[in-house]
Amino acid sequence: MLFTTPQFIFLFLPICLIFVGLAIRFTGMKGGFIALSLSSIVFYAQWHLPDVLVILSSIAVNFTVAYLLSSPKTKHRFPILFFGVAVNILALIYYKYTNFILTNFGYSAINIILPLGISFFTFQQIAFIVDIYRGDVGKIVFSNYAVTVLFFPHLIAGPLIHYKAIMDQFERNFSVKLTNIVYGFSIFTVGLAKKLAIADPIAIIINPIFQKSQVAPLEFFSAWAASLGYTAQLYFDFSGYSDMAIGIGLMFGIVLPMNFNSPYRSTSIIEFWRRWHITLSLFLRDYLYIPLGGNRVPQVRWYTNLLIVMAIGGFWHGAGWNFIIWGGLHGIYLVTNHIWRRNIPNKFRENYILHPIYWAITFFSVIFAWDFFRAPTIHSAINIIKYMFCIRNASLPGEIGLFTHIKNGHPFGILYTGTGITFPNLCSILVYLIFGYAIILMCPNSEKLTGVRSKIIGAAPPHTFGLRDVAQAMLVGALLWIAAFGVFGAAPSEFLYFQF
Amino acid sequence: MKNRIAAIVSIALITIMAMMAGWIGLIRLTTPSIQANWTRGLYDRKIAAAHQIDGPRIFLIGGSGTHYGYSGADITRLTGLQTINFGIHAGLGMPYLLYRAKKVLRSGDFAVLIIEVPLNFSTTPTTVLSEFVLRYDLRYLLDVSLKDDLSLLFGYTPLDFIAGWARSRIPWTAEIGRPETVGTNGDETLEVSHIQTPADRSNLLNAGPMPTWPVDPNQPPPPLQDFFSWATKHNVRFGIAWTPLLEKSDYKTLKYENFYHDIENWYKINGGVVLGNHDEYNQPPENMFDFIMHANEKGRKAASQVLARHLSEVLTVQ
Repeated sequence: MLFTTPQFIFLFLPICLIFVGLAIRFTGMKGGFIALSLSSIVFYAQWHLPDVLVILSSIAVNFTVAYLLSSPKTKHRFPILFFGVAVNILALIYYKYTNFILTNFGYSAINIILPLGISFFTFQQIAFIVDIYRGDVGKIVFSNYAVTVLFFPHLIAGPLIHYKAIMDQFERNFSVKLTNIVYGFSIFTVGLAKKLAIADPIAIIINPIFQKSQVAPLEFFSAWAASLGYTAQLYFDFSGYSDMAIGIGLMFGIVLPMNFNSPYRSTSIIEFWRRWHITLSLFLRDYLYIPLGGNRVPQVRWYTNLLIVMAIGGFWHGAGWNFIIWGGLHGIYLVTNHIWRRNIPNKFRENYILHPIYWAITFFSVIFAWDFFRAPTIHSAINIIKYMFCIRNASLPGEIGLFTHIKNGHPFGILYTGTGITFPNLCSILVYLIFGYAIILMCPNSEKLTGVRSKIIGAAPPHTFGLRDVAQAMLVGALLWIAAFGVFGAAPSEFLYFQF
Repeated sequence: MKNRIAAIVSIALITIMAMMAGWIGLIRLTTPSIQANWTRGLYDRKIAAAHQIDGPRIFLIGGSGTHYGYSGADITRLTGLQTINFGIHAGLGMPYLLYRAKKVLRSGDFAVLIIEVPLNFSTTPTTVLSEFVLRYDLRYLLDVSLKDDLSLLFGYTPLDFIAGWARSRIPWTAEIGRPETVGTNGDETLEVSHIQTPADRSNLLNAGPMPTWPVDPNQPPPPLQDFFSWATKHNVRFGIAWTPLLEKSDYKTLKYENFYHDIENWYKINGGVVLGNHDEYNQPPENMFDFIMHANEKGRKAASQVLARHLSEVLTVQ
């Protein structure tokens, strides 16, 4: 059940809110936790029923490990932690990487169904037992722990949350109130519109180009359309999902952490990773980069740590060499960025006149790396990148030549023979890219747009109903209208990050 | 606080309605897509042709398979009863084709439903229908369920609009897809075999058989059942015939025989007549045009003769 389907919006979500609201009212907080956990299990079971056993087993094992680690009587804590982490990683390897390993060693793949969201809930639970081991988390109660893992808004694709931070909120703010529902729905709407009104239409145009890139040389403009299109699609898809998750979380009084902060406006790769998939970046920093020594080691080892962390981050996204290359590329970018920072004087780095150049270098580096992330094969990614630089291969639809009366070969040798993208698709992708990148580069992000965090739970609303409220209500209406084309007018498409 | 929330919700709803009104206005003001323009032209000419006739008429109702596959003029000549080819665009879907047919049919008419078989199994509104309704027939929204209303209102997306606008910039030079070639009986007068391309022929020869769907022989699709009830109430006789289909040996197998028989049963149990066996209407490749359900003028003539013969039998008996 996708967040974007009528079944979720008009059936599951309202029923769940009523059910949990009634449970809190008549049985207290604990009853609410149980009701929310049950609802989340129903939500998860809609995808593939047997996966419920996987997640419940994972919760049971991790809770047992955490219980042992938190017990003052336990003597050999490190082996227990090692066992807990190993079980999580082995489960992830079995479900996600077995076929990658088998096929790379020449064996045939076996039939394994990847449980949805396993990468997310496994990472989150590793963080949990490590936090227990470090003593960052005190007393734990099973129903509390279960609800933080199962909480359906973040269950499938994050944001990754820390038990302590989220549990504090559950204990203080967990409630179902009309005010929270309205504020939550406003941010949910932003995500819905991002996904359905921008990401999905772009995908319709660029997916055939990525398919073609597997078997045939691409044409210059098609290659750029695919790369720029996917860069925008992934942002609107994943940040849209995160907005919806944050919005639904708010409906239950829970503020999930921000996952995106206008990442494509970054002027360095270091900044990009502080703004893109923030909760994953923080996880990798806290539970992998720092334990490896972080930057408090000799320079060569520091850079090696960065490369290792980014390659693992890439591999976490998917069992394929293209994901490792994507991660590795970002590792190289980060190392280069750090070398630059160490060797270039501040006056150059902080010179605002040079910022557009820094932005362009960062943005196009990210785009090239996304080609490996998206393309079905490495060959296909190289094909796309190669033809992005091959203007000799440029061909616009014949209609452009017809309308403009420009002769073939003018300018830059561009032909008007239509060997690449069709005229309707060219018009569509141009409109969507201009619109999409205007939002990406110029508009306030979801948090600023809706001002949700400033209205958080418990804060008294202003007494007067001002122009700002009218504008926000109109914005929500407009976004709902545009999102409705995706909800009612087309078959739902999965979120890109569900595959990870 | 409740008033505040009520105000927010009200403003949001008003915005949605205003945006929808603006969207419909924009669609209606801009150039229609080629297919919307063709579809509207077909309706205009075929309805005008139908209104020219006094007395009982035979209506051939279906999509483009009927438009290309039958000649109302030939059937008129062979049966002696004025016949209108009311084949339009299958993309409109069965519910809309029947809805529009009901507006033209009158007591004493004979409706031959030659609905393309797949249309019986998918009755959700299409993008083609959504554009057509938003451009030309908003009243249809009052005739369907709320679910279908939402699909129609939001079925023609901004992406469809941009792509349709871009296509409409290209001058339409093809001979087909033009309402001007519709004749006095609503027939397609263009001799399409002359414009068949090698690609059309290759596609035809490589096409697989039409699939089958599970059929409950006693339960017609709701729009069809509604039409049967309406026709009975308004003294309109009805029957079933088949779209000329590219012949395949598969269609002679028991699986297809049973499939077609079950569909025929929908009509039989509701008082309709079956106008011959499906196999009689199938045509060899040389009688077909660009698609397995589009006959050329030779296929059109052959299928019309078969239908006229069966119609004559039924009309004589009655």
